[in-house]
Amino acid sequence: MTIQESAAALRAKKISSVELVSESLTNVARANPKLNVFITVLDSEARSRAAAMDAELARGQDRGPLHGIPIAHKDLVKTRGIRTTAGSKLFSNFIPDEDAEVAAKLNDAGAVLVGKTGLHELAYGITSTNPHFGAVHNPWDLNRIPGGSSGGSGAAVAAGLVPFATGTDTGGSIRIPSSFCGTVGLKPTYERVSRRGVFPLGLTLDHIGPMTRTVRDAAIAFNAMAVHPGFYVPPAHVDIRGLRIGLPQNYYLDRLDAEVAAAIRTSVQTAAALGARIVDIRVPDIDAINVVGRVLLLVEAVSNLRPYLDRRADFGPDVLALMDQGRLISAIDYADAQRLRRIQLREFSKLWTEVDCIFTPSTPTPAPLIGQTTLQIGATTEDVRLATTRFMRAINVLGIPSLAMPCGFTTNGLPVGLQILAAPRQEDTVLKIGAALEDALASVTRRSPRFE
Amino acid sequence: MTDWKQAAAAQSIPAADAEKIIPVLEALESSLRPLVEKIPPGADLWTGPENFS
Repeated sequence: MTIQESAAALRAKKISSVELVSESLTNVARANPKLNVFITVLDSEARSRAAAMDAELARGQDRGPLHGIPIAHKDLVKTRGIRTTAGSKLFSNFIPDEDAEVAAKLNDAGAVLVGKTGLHELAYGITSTNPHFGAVHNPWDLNRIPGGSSGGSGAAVAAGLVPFATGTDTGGSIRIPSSFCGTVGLKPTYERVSRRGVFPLGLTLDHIGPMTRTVRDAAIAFNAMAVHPGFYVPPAHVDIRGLRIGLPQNYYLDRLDAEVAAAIRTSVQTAAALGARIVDIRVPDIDAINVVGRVLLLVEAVSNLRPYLDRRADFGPDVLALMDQGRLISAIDYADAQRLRRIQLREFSKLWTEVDCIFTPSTPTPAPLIGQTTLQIGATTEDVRLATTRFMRAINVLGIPSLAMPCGFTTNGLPVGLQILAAPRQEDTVLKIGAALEDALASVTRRSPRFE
Repeated sequence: MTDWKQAAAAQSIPAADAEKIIPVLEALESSLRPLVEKIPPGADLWTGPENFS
């Protein structure tokens, strides 16, 4: 069930939080040996908390739509008294003494934490094939990656183990798993959700956001997570007539899997049929923004990991290589990258006079196989990490809101993702258009993998 | 262009590990350098998604 369905059933007394959480834990026990989604499962703690949430509701104390709903946190989000590994050997036994701000807010909203989800080591990668905790598997095809770094959260939501899990996104880490797992992920505007108490990766690039099965659930979860709540939750019927949707004629349709391109075209045609205005646009040099993003991330990440630089054996080879790269980039190049970033933001922002939002594919291909290092897209062979972040990384550099949502499937049953961008603080816009599309595309977005 | 081998040695990065990352850094530097050359004098740092005047 979705958050909305569960919340309605709880208030109609058709189900209890204890029953919701018990079902979630049963499903986790059944699926986790195959998916390796959870690093930590909180069985007894979740059941106790659910009973307390039921008791509150029985007394008339209602904390809102997340009251009694089972959720999961990416294991990068610090949780008081609960092991938080960051997917790293360095923190494999780390037990925080306080909650991250976002965890505290979700506690206050009445959510019931059932576990901590697996991720790419230190959130520094896109596969979630973790050298210390094993590979997380994609529920749609166990031989494929779920994406990352929030791969456990994406897979847990896609497999129906929880309706909502937290994610973090420094270069696509919410949106890539959303694309590969067929779930909804919202990367809000920079700093709309507090980063305090979440293991940092790139301090000026890190974003925290919800991963859910539906757009409306993402809106509900975002409201509970945001520093200042009060955001729009799309109603049952959404009107997008007159909304101006930018369709890039450059970059985002280059080097694209044919089936992904077809699904994006269908999304555009669907939005047009709902009354939106499709506006052809040309985006600034996204490759240049991606270069800036890579410089920023390499330096910021190694700055965070500075105390551990002499523990080389404790890092997986891909993360170690990125750390070494970060150590060699000069302070001058870092500062210049931050100056370029401002210029690039100014250029990109001119688009908001022409359109209200922009459609792009989330990723150029569906989920790669576990262990795959290159992707063949048409005649081009690309590195998996660089190809997968190609449409994502620049959005973290810009700091603007982005919604990733399923928009179709390939012929072999893998989800395809659509990315919707808007100006800073315009989360309402991406949620509105996302909800309208989700309703219109319902027949291709609601299949669910099962783990009996 | 940067002498990445020397830079890696100065950071005590093992030579075998340095060999793996030098091509990546060379490519990144060759992409960054032309962009940096176009930064106008007095250009300010990024301070957030809404500040770009």
